[in-house]
Amino acid sequence: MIVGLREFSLREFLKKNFDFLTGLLSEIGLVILVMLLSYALSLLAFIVWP
Amino acid sequence: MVLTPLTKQDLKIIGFNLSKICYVTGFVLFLPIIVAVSYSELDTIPYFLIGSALSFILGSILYHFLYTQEEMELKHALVMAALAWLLAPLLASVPLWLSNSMASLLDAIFEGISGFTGTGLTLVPDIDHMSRSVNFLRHFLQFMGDGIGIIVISLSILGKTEMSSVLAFKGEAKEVGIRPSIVRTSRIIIGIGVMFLAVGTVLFTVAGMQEGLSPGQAFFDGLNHAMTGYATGGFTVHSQSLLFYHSLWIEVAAIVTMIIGALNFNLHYAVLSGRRSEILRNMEVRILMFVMLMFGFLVSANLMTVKLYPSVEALFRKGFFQVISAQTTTGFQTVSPVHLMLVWPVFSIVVMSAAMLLGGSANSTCGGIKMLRLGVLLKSLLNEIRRSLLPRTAVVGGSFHHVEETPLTDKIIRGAAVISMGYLLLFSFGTMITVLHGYGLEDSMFETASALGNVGLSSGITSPAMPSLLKVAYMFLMWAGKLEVIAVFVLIGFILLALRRGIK
Repeated sequence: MIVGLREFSLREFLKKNFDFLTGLLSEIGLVILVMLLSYALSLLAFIVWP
Repeated sequence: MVLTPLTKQDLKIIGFNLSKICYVTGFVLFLPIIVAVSYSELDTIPYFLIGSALSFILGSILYHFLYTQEEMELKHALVMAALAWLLAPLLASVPLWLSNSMASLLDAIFEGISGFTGTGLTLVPDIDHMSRSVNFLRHFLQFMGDGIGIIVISLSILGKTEMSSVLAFKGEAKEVGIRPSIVRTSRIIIGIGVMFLAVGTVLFTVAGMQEGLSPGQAFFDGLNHAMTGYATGGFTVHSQSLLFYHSLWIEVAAIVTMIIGALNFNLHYAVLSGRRSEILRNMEVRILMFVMLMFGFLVSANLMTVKLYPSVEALFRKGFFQVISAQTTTGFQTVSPVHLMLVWPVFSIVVMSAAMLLGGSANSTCGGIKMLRLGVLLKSLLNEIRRSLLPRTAVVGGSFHHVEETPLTDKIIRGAAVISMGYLLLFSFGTMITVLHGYGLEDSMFETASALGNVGLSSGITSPAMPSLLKVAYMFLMWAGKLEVIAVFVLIGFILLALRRGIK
């Protein structure tokens, strides 16, 4: 296990799983975008109909 | 068209494939024993053992007596799926009933159907004082039943032939096409589910600890909510749903899991395989986001006209949260049912009902008509308008982008129209039945859309005290909604054919 940890390379891991990790970030990015737009639209409703 | 009479072989094929569903259900009912042991709830273990043993025994009987090597045809797959979504909840109701958590056996079956179909309407009289292991089972049913799909699981573990598996997928209202191999496809769906379960559990647990829950409590609540959030199921560990916490961070964690759960499995696979741009190019995602934001804005504006919430944050956490919960067919509530029906304006209730009926993405954990079908119908409507305006010789065609460029054929349009029509028919039927029981029109529309769309938001109609006939009607709606209507009609046709012509 310790040998395995010593052999672990973050760079190699990121390189191997680049597509997967960036894909996951894209999905979370979409959710953040939806939340930001939702908040902006709440603000708009709040301003237009005070 | 001449319908061929049913044969004993037809029944054998269906029964044999149902045996696999029994085995998977047996496993699902066995797992909460780990939770029972962890929390020293040893008195609940026999309930799970009995439920699990019954499932394995029934599965073994079906396997032994109906063993066949013959391939399923589409009619077998549809009938098998329709029966599977009845059989699995029936078996799941055994531990729920034995544990005395439910007021009656009918309520336990209702809870089983609501769990497996990922609806989230509940008849548990006192969720807050339920044993943790039984409560875990409710959430686990949603994750295994709707989050991943019992048929998907049975295929990946017990799948035998490619053809049978492809057809069984259709029966469960899921597409095939992520990978050429069906078993590999099933495993990818399970992998995606488990990964997002882990992400959701971390988010909910951190949010819970942020609000002062102990790490153990935060993890238990977080795991359960991540399971039902990703499954867009909506069961929660508290009777007040997420309103119990009054926590912005828990609501944010819920929004993340709900939206992720509402996306198409094919899209997840494409994006996680490196096609990142797909997330913004996909027609279904675009329509889902547009409709959700539009409905959210309409509800927020309507809530502001009656001056219900004093701040932007409150408007976001109540108005938008509820619309996202409705559109993704999850059913987490940050507004109590009484407040929703007595204080919210009728317009907002109608918009929420429309959101629940339309639902999220096809081939996801969502219920409802689905955004892909809405997109197809809107595109074909546009084509019809173009056809009317252009010269008679002009060719009007078109395609849409859904993971890949897909031509808009008559077959696709017909499929979308038939299923949407089926949903609207059942929606009318459910609303009429509820109104007949003396409930108001908007409450009836809301609760029917919630049951049919497998959502779980409640206007307060669903309770242990509701009339038994209405409980049965909602069980039918939840089941039919999960199967996307068609399999239900095929099963009815199958039964009528057997009654009229007998079994050869």
